[in-house]
Amino acid sequence: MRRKAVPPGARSGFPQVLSLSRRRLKVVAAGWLVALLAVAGRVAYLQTPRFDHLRQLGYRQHVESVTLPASRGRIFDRAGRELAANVVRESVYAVPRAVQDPVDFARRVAPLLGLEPAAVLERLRRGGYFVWLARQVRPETADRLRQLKLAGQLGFEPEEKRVYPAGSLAAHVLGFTGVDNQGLAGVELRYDPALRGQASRVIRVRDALGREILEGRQVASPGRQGADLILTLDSVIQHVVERELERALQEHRARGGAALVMDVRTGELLAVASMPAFDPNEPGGASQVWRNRALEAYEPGSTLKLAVLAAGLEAGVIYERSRFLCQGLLRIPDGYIIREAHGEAHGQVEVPDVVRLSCNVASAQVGSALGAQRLYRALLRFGFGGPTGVDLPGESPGILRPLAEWSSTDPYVVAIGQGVAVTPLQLLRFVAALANGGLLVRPHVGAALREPGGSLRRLAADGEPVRVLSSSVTGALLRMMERAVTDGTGSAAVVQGYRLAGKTGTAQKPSPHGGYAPGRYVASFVGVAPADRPRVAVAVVVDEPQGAYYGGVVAAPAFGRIASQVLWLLGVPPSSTAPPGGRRYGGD
Amino acid sequence: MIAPQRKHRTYPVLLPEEAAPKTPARPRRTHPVARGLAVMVLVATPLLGHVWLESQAAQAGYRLHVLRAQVARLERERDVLRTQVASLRRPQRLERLASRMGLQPPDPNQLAAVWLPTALATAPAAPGAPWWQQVARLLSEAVASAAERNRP
Repeated sequence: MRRKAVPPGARSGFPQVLSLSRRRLKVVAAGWLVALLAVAGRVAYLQTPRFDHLRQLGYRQHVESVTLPASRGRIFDRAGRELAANVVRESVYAVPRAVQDPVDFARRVAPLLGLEPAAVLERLRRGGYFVWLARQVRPETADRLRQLKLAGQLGFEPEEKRVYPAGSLAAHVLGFTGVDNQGLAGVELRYDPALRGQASRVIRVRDALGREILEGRQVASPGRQGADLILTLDSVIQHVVERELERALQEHRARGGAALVMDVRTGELLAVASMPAFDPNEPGGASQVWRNRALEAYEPGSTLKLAVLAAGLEAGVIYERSRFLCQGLLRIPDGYIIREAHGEAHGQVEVPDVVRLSCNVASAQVGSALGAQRLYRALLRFGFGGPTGVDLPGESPGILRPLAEWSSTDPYVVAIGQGVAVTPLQLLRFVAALANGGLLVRPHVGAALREPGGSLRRLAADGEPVRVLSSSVTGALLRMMERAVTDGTGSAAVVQGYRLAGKTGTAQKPSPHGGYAPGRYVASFVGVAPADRPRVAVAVVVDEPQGAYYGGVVAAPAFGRIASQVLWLLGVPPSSTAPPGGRRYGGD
Repeated sequence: MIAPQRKHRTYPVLLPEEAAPKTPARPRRTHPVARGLAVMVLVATPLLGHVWLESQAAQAGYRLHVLRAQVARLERERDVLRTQVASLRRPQRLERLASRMGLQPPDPNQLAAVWLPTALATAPAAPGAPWWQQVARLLSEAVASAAERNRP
């Protein structure tokens, strides 16, 4: 191996190169040292004076506390048909600080949300990082908004939306929820705590790309899903009742109405219809249609005669064969006159005829015989003048003035159903007591709650039924009511195959200026089906029918149609086929 | 006195050689680079293993996250479909379809009741019945107890 030639005069070259390398190494090492010192200094700076601030910053970027709303429980009818459910919809929000051109943004987004551009601009002017533009929009709307490619300026947040698959069916019972899924009316409001459940709170950790790191998740407070609510309503019976009520309203061009069906033994409401109806999916802002007329008080008219006669019979003031003289009118204290509806004189009438002919004069005489105190106490005992305790919000207690405020005419007037206000539900409950042997039951629509785990919790009615009448009195009254259908004012309720019992009612509506409003009536019919083995009580109330306005003409036919179809749906055979002692197949 | 002088005779013998002084054993020294590498391996292996496991856990977390999102999407679809089924089954619609097909509710005269012995009619519901049948049983029990209560 040849050595490299050393230039003449030069000293040996190797130590020179070595010395050069060492110098370079020192420079590099010094550079590294400086760099390391700089890094160490920076680390010290970050870790000491700015430590807390930076730690909080990092914590905020990677760790977040999120409230996960509980899924709202669904609502079913007694046969397991879904009446209220949830679907996930997206809500749209804007990030005002990220919007470059608010005018253009509003011009493009507003039409898709059904808003005016000015409204969108107004929200953008609030500034900040978040402002709702629309809640729970339809999927196709969300898709069209995504196509605008406004990422960063426009965002979407999935939210649960309440839907009612059956539309307006039983809308007044179901009620509806607000945009935050809180119950606002009906059983949605009454059972809101159980349906809503409890939201959970979790601590979430995200990586640099914003993805959640699942192993970092911690439950800060555990939640609970909402329980499902099972109602006593039967969707099919509800539909039948709504259909027949609507038909009656259309035939008589009435303003509104209510119809109810109740199991006379348990107080379970099988149907509660109120018209005009509304769609709980789009309740809108017309609160008038949200009124549940089944729970609103009205002056009952002749249907209250049943309570007056029951009080008289129970107190022993009258007997089934007691007779009254009807001359077409009755002069009562303070110069007032009670007249018959058609002005006719019934002559000598017995108690059953009071129901059959709906005789005002005889009923007023019964009221007079009872006296104010006994009549008042009996009406209170029968559940009038106080809420029934039904598990629906907004129930009116009716109007039964305190005894101290009764005048000398009141026993006469109240006995024909004037000067007092009751709800259709109160009346129905009383008639159910006539049908079940004298027990006042608590009407209810909630049957059971199904917990998320699947266990069923029955919603027990508060307290035992209260006996308010003896079975002999109720039996006598039922017979009278049956005669009212077969041979009295309720003959339009007759249907083939079944024995029905009922009572008509026609009442003038009070005027806001005092007295009664001319030409404004409430027609009603309340009864029991079948009369021989009572199963259900039915009430039909029609508000302000045009033309014919008598309960026997307006409400009785609807009662008959409802009763026959409900009995068929409940598997109750026609009255002509009596049971031979065995249990009915498909029946109760 | 003259005495014979004892004769000494030396016989050569083989004596064991004196052991050579032991030179201290030179310790076997591994190369510093190898030693450094070994230390690095010993330290780095568990660290790398830990990192690998963490990375696998994170990957599994991401996969789980995707699967959960998929489950949520499918549940949403199920909810929508279930709502559609409920909407299609609503009585108003079924009645409209039935009347279009010429169907109508039976006349009471067309009904015939079939009577069964009590024992047969009160047979308990089959085990594992769906929940709405359990509710129906609850309700029918309520009816039965109310009937008992109302018996005069």
